[in-house]
Amino acid sequence: MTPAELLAQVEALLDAGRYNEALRLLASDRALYQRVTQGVIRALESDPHGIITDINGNVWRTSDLIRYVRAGHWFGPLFNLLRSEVELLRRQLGG
Amino acid sequence: MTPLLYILPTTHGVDVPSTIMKNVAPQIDESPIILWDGEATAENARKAILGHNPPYIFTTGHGLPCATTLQDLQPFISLAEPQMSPYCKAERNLDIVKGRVWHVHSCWCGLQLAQEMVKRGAWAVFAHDKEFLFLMPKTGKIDIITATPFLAEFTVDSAMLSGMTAGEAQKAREKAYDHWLDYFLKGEGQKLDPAPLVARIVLADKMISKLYGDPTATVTKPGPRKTFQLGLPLDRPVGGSAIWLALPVALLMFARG
Repeated sequence: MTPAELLAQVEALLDAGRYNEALRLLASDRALYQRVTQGVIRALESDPHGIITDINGNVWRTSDLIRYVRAGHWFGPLFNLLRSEVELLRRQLGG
Repeated sequence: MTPLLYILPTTHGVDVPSTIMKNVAPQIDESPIILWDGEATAENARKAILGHNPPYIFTTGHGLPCATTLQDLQPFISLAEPQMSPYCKAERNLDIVKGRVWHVHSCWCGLQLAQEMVKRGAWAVFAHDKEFLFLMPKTGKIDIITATPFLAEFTVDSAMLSGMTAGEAQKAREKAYDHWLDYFLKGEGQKLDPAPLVARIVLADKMISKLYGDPTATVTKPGPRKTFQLGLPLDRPVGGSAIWLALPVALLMFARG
């Protein structure tokens, strides 16, 4: 399986809400996992004092989210950002 | 044209989408019926729908798979799923969804509520099947950083009011998200500091924004394409900055990578 194919499968799992399977599959290629993770962290670092919110009024500080990603804890809005990062990387790889 | 209805509550953190739509609606609709702030109650919304019989309704507020709420978190439309949430103790207002096109701009409603609305006769429902994210304003004003996901999302409303079918409006919605994604990845927007994060939020919101029901649904005859422009930054309503950690969604998954 090419990296682009693996990322496409991760996207499908994330879309289906099968988050743990998506993470396991992504982590099966350590280099790809690191690349995606770094992409999410760099995006969050572009607004280091920012606050992500949703229409339900939940709030997450970007500085906290960076710590969670670095620690390998994925939840709620991080899965949405992970989904975006995976797709952007897949497009970059030509998938 | 039959009047269309915009239900715009402002409490518990929903002032941002409501403020933006309050500015958009008069540009795309000659005579919008707007329930704003304290008027945006479940009782008033029901009365307005039964009284005016609007073929198209925009509503925003907190959401769960089984409910969408209005001012002060009053449940507006809900399924009877008491085990999921106290907001879903009973069915509410499913009897008034039939034959209409709905834009339910709330988190999570696509998972169940929108699908049930279609089963109960709604012609089409635009909804989100996960959290709709945005960056909180850093001041009392709504700037381009905060507004962008809504500018893309509200393409649904301008498209439907231009006479497009729901399916065409969904395509226009996706195209609008792509436009803003490119703006922050490759265009002028990349000069703004949080551009990488805004781009990812825009793409995430695109992925969760779905159409349910009949893609041939329409609300008006085809006409010139309606557009809107916002004079950003917009002032937020007084008290609108209050964010409450309400409606904790049981579906938030927690996993270790």
